[in-house]
Amino acid sequence: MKRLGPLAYWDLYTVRFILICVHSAFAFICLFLRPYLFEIVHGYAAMAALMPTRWWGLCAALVAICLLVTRRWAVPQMLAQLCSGLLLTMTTIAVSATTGPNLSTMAYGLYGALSLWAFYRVFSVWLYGLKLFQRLQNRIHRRG
Amino acid sequence: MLKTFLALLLLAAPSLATAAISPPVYCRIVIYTDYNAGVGFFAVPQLAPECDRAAIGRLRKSSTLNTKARGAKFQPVRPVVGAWTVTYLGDDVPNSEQFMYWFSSWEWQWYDGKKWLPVEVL
Repeated sequence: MKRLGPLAYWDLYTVRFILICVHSAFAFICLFLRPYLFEIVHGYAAMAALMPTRWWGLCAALVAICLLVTRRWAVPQMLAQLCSGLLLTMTTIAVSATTGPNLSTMAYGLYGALSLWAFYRVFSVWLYGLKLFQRLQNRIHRRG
Repeated sequence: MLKTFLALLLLAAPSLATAAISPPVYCRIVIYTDYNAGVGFFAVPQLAPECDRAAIGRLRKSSTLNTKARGAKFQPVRPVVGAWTVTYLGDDVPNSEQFMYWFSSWEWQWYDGKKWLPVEVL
């Protein structure tokens, strides 16, 4: 197997670092700085209808911690990345359904897309390396 | 022409009358803590979740420490004449009054039409 340099997959790790920062900031705001943000700001009414602000903050903190402590290219980290992507995408949809598209929903959407993209890259490598997946592929593509 | 005018008046009269006689509905107010800093927080008064979108709330602050003559509680706004108004869209409470220090002793009160009741601070 070819040995990879220290800068291999730097883009994936940068995206993961950015996502940890985003989730930590979101968690800090929801847990400590503005614990009733979604109840106060009418644009976030859909979020408040789903869960109280502090629970959203707890979810974001859990995702940030999972992204931080899990090993690279391991299944738990893939799951954490998927959760991160779903959380951000759901936030984007819930807010923009109320307010329409604006700068903040675009930022949420951008982070959600980055997160899902990072998940897809790691997940596809893992999936194509699976023996079961290869066997199924062989069965599908077999000639004659 | 006269008939049209009279018909319009007949149609409009009941709505005018109801608008004139229906009293303002004072609804319950809750206060959310926002912008939690080390020494204080920003109090955001809002109508309680059970209130109608068109409802109005009346709000004032009352000191739990300072008293005036004959032990009357000090209020920065006069209880009957001047209280602040809270609606679904916002309030007219000045920002300087909304910033509360944790160590200061102000009680927020809302008016239910007869008496002043303490506001729940979340």
